[in-house]
Amino acid sequence: MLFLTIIKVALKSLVANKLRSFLAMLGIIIGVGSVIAMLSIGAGAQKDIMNRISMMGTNLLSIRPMQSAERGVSTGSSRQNLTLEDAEAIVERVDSIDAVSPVASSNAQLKYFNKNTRASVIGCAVTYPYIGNFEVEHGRFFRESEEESMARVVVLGSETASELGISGKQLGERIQIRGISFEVVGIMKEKGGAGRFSQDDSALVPYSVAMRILFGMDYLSNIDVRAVDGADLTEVETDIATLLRSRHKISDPENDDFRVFNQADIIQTATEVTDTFTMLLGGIAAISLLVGGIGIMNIMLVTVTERTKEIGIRKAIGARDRDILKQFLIESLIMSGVGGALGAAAGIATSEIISSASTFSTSVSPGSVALALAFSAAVGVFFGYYPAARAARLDPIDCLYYE
Amino acid sequence: MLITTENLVKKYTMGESEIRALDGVSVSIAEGEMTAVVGASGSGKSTLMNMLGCLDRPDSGEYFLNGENVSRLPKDRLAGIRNRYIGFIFQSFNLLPRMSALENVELPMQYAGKKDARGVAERALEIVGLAGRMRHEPGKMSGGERQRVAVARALVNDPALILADEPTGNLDSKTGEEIMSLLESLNAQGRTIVIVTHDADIAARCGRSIRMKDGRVVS
Repeated sequence: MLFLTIIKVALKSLVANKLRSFLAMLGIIIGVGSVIAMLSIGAGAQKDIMNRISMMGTNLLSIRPMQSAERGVSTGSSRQNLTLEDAEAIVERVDSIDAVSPVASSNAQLKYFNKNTRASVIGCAVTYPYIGNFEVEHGRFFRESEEESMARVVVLGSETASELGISGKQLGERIQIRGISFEVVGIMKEKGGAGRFSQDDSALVPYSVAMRILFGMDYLSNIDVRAVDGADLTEVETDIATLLRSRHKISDPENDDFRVFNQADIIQTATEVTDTFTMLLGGIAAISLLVGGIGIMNIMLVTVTERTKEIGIRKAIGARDRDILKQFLIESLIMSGVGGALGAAAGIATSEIISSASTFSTSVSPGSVALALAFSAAVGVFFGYYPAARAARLDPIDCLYYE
Repeated sequence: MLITTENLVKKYTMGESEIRALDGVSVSIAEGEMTAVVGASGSGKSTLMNMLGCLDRPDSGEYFLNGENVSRLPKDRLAGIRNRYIGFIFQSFNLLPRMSALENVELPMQYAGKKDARGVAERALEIVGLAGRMRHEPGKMSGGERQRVAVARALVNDPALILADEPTGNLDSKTGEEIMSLLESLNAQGRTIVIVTHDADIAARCGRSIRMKDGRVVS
């Protein structure tokens, strides 16, 4: 029998039961749609990280406090173990250091007249924009003198500024951070990126102000270091670790209460996080695809029973078992294929909606669409085979006299 | 001989008891004959029809169709034989819904892999007098028209044998008469036709009657 005729017959019977076919396909639609949407979020996050990292340059190191574990027991307050003195010691005692910035950051509410926004307030040194490759778009960054005199000055990230309705014209205006008045001296240039990898939703203040006035902390969130160009980063890392160990009186590197991250580490951590995230979401999506397949199998079993008489007639006039098998298999394949295509459209639409309505940026890769479509076709064949084989095995006489 | 059967036996078990639906049936039908198979319900005439139509295989005995022993062929070969050598006409028409008369008539040719199925199907529908109703679906046709479509479908692969199971059973006497005339005219053109019926008038119009009782041929 001609392939085209089989497809025509299959389409006709699917169209004859529109609602039922649609409901049977719904599982596949949702499955494929969510696989594509989820993978697009994962891919988008990955892209963000890579962009951001490539913008910052590669000779960056970041020292962060870690929970130290002595004989397997965590010693509690150890996340407060990086100090300003540590940062100063690095500048003085480690070779090949270009710039260092202590960082003390926390989230805080910002207020400008009747406008409010929550931002990550980063207390840092004047070297911070140089280390992270940030540029000032309007006004200026704060000065070393302001750092020393604990001036209440702030440089806003581009997103924070627009949230507050502040543009280049409002420089010199005062905003409230945690109820304390700050003068806006500059606005940073937009850097892009999303979520925790964006700096655009931040507000930069002198670290001295952040530590003593805003947050009342005598420890640092992290220390950012820029090595001189061409420096051996591994060596710099080792030197910093050795220095901090001696300052923190740690003999065994196992008990380190800090960790030196380089860009490779950051990339790896970020990739691990997004990979886990993607796998988890993809796994859930794959399960719904499986459930969709079961839905198709269910409907195909009903269809076969309903069309027993038709199977008998076809066999009487010369259909072989494999003709019947082919017919029902193609029917379930069309169902899962159409479901897959609709799902792909839904997934792409969802990922567009997500990227425009939230801070997640998404990226639909052709590979993920192909993967989802191939998978849904496989689901159609796999779950369609049993009903089709059952139809093919039916006895023509039983079918002809079936009422 | 187009059809020769030797000692066909078909048994069914119903619960504890065994029923011999066919109990040693030997018949011969020559090419060009129009034969009626008659008998009360349960006499085995439907089983014989299934056997002659290659829808079923005997438990023992031989069935030669056109000189070929088909009694033990595998299922797929039997499907091919039904497709090429046998045209079925059923009491309840057995047309496929959601397909036009034309598509129904094309179907046997599609399973045979024939080209120009459309042209042959159109001619067959013209022969049975349905030239103007080809695009209609069976659901929108009268019983007589549906049975004509079935006759056209039985004819398209130019079968050696036409098997009709109570072809007028669901029709009023006037349209039944039309179908019988149609079958008679096909027979006049040399077609071998076997009609299973319990209607004595129809049996009388056939050249020959095979009477069944309790799984045996009695006359």
